Amino acid sequence: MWEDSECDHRLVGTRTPYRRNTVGDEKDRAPHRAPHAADEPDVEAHAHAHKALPDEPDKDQGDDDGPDVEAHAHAHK
Amino acid sequence: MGDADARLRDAVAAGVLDDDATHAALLGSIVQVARAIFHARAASVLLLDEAAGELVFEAVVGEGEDTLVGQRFPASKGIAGWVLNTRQPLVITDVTADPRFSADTAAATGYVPKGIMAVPLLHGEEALGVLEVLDRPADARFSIEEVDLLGLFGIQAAAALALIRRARLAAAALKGGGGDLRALAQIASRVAGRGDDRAVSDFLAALNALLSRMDGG
Amino acid sequence: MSAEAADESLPAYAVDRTAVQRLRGARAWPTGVTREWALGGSTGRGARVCVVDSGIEAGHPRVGEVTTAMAVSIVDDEVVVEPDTEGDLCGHGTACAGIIRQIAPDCELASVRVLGEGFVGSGPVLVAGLRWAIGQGYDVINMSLSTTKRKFVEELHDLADAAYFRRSIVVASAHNMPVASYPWRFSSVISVASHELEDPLAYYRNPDPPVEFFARGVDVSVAWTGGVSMRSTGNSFATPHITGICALIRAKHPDLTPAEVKTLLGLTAANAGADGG
Repeated sequence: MWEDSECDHRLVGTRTPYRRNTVGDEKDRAPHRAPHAADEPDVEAHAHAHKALPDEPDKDQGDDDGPDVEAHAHAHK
Repeated sequence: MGDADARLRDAVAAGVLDDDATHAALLGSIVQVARAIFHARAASVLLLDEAAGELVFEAVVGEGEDTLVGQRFPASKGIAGWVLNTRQPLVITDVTADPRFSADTAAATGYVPKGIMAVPLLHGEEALGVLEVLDRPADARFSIEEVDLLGLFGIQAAAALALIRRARLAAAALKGGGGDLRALAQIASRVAGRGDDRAVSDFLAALNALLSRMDGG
Repeated sequence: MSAEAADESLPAYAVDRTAVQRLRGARAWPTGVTREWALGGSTGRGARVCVVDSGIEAGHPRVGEVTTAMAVSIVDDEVVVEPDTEGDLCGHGTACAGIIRQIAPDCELASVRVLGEGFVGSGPVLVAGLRWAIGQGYDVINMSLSTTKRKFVEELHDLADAAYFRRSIVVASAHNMPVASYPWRFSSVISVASHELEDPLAYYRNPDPPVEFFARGVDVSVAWTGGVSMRSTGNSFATPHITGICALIRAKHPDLTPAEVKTLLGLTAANAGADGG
């Protein structure tokens, strides 16, 4: 059960950030590959942390073993 | 491609590509617009120097613009390092509370921001560097539209960085070459610089004729 | 297992006049397709969902049970898929699993770990992990990640097609930057990006692909390693919303193909029937 939320035009059709073709032409790559190119990751996750805020009090969050992304306060909350 | 061919191509590339100052102006204008659009205190583009494993400030506008260009720090450090390695955008309102933030790196630049928006500069399959926008107005609300917008600036900055990198590599390759290659670069530069198409095509026709005689001889 | 081996039999290129009468067709849809018909009353029970990611922290209060957990690694140049003993290395997979669990509380959750603690991973590992998941016949496979490296595109594309024909719904997150990466750009998967609204069940069909749907992806409260919760943003978190919704649909209508589920999503989206939608 849910009513028609207002249809933001940004969402429907006008926002097409991913319709573009590949950024950068393969042929444009610099002629000399640097030695560390093989270390570049092949696969990336698609999270980008805007802010990280624990909703509940931390439960035994390890100190040094803690996650990469930790909680920090956001100005508007 | 054979070694000799590669050197020739680099020589011509070095001659026809714009000099560093022109590219710097291009990159500078990108960060200027980014800073203006976001009403930020500073914006910068950092280039990845893969061989050294460092990020280097290529263009800075706002806080630090007089001192930061050329400064370097390890590419794995800080928010910029995280964005570079994960290739994802990052928006943080208070960096001091984020463990990825490298306070000493920031302190070394002379300006410690509170808020950062950063996007990786992706060109083809590579991450060439990072674009950062620092300290937007305190009441600025996060929106994905803005991250998208920053991503668009990132495309421009990545294209500019790709040009810069190619030009520098070509110039470095040319340095290792002989006087003939330098002369070729100069010729290519003059040909490219002339707006007069007729003169250019005449020159190229003459060059072609010369090459044919050399091949036949 | 190669993509070809994943096919159960060679496809039929023709059918004789007797056999054509016996072909099992699609079940009739109602004249007016509604969300109620699509997923009303479903809790996801019976749907098997696999999260191809950084692992899942089993027992997390927002995740609960993880039926199977595998990890993919490269040992002596060989890709190995074996039971995962380490769990989630960075939180990303747990966050996705928590969202799926929230939407489809009774679905069966499985994990294939292909990402490391830096939120990144290797192409061969991803390909092997996806191949394994397809071979297991999961109803829905969540992929909140991508690769920009073209050398993996062909294999990934073959696998996405194999999944499609085996009725595994691959739900893949668009890159957060305006770049081409895969597998979200394949037509055989369901691609997802973010909207800023708060309703976790609100999804919109995008009439301008390759992003096909928008789901909740901004300021999402997510599970994270350490039994905690936090807020994060990204297409990574929009994708499991759609995965959960697909699990609800698949649980209620197990015979729907991925194409039919994608169509159903479009017909039941918040902007279905809107002018120009």
